[in-house]
Amino acid sequence: MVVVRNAFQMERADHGKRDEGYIELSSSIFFRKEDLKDFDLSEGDTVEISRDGKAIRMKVKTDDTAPEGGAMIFNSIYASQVSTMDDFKRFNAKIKKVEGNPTKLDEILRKFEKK
Amino acid sequence: MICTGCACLCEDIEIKDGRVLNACLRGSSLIRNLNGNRAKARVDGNDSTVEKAIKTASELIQSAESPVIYGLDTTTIEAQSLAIKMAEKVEAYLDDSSTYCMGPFVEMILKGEVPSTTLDEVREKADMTIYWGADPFHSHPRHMSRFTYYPRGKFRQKGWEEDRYLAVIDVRDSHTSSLARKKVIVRDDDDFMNALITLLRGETPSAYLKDSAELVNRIKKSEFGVIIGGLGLRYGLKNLNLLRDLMKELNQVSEFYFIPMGCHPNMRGFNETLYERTGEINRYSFRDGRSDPEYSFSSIVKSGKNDVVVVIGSDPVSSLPYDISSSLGRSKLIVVDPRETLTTEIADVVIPSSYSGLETGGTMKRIDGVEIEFKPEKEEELNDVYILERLMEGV
Ligand code: SF4
Repeated sequence: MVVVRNAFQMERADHGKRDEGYIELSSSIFFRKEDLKDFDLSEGDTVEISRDGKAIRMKVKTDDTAPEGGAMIFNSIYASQVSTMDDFKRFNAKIKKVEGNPTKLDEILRKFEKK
Repeated sequence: MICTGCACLCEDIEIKDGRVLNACLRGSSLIRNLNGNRAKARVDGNDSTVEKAIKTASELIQSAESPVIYGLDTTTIEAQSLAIKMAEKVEAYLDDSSTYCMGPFVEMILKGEVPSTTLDEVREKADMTIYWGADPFHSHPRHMSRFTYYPRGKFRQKGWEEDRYLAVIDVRDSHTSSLARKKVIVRDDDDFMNALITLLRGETPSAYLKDSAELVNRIKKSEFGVIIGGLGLRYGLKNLNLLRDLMKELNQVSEFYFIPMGCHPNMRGFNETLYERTGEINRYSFRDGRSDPEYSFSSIVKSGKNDVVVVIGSDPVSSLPYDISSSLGRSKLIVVDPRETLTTEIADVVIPSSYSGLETGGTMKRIDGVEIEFKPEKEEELNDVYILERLMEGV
């Protein structure tokens, strides 16, 4: 997985990080079209990305700038759920197809509530 | 008007009949949406007056035993200087996002370990630009048109068509690499850098022979080249000594410089201001009088050593790994920001500020260290300098 900056997503951030367009782009995972078959995925599927006990659900999309044999996500709170300080921008994770929708922002933010 | 959308700090932005001219998608979006999503003063989740928010924050800082100050890359040097003074006064830990971004590269430049130059020099003279782990098309959309590839330079009148050569090294195809004359997809940045060094020393590398040979041949023909290193290089390159060696070898065959691709508008300003004061660029403990990886924002917050965190113009809940940001709620959190962010949502105290550079004047340092002065038409009184001065009064 690589974590990248995207001008279109950052443009939406100026409308606020609760902006629907921003959340949609932030909760998307991009593959090269020709790689989808190898991952047994189709555009529009929901996948769970997990590593070291942390997980996040994202929507599958295609983009020809995704890395070959890998996936690309945009820098955001979604990426931050599975990245670590040591491999902030490039890391290995497990991906599996799941039912349902991408994780909701409020679902993530609930984890930050003070106990 | 000068745009603060990224560290290019474009100085040619105009507003005519409500339209933002010359800016890229990101810059025009920032300027058009200045009034939306503004932060509101809050204390303990309840709406408050700005006065009460500042007073509460000041009391929290005053009574803190182990405060941390973080962010500051989007504010002016004047505000950064005040934050450094405050950190000194309360013996705080002080850090900015350069620790996770271009810090190591900026440090090498400030210590004279790798040669660097200005983007103006690049515009006038460069006949070769190598973006390494950087995709300016998205991160700094006017970087190529203002400085590196598309402009006519004093010594490069035929521009990109004949005078300039663009190469991109990355782990993937990118919109920037689709414009390059030469793109190299690398799995391991150390291996590829090693291959270039080996070839420049006249030996044969064991990996990436074809790509490195093609690039080195072109490098040998260049008169003035620059490597622009982005986050991909920062996280891909494990051995920083390789960069020192590469720059040394490149300068045996041509004139070559390195410029880091910092994203935040004034990250470089923070690094240089702290460097002048302490000889270090980030992750500094004023209690211990030194910099150390264990004083980085992430290490301190994760270890729980802090009792108050002051975040100025940054959104760590969004940008830092959950392992780190989840610890923010363990202590009191004060956020100073012009807009609502995911970090203001969980903060104990929110102090609304204005956009540095756009709504309030001062100075910043561009990505290449060039100082840029901001004189907006209208000055907002509630700005980072005012807020920090008020917070300082309390301590
Ligand atoms: S390149 Fe950066 S500074 Fe220039 S207009 Fe775009 S966002 Fe603003």
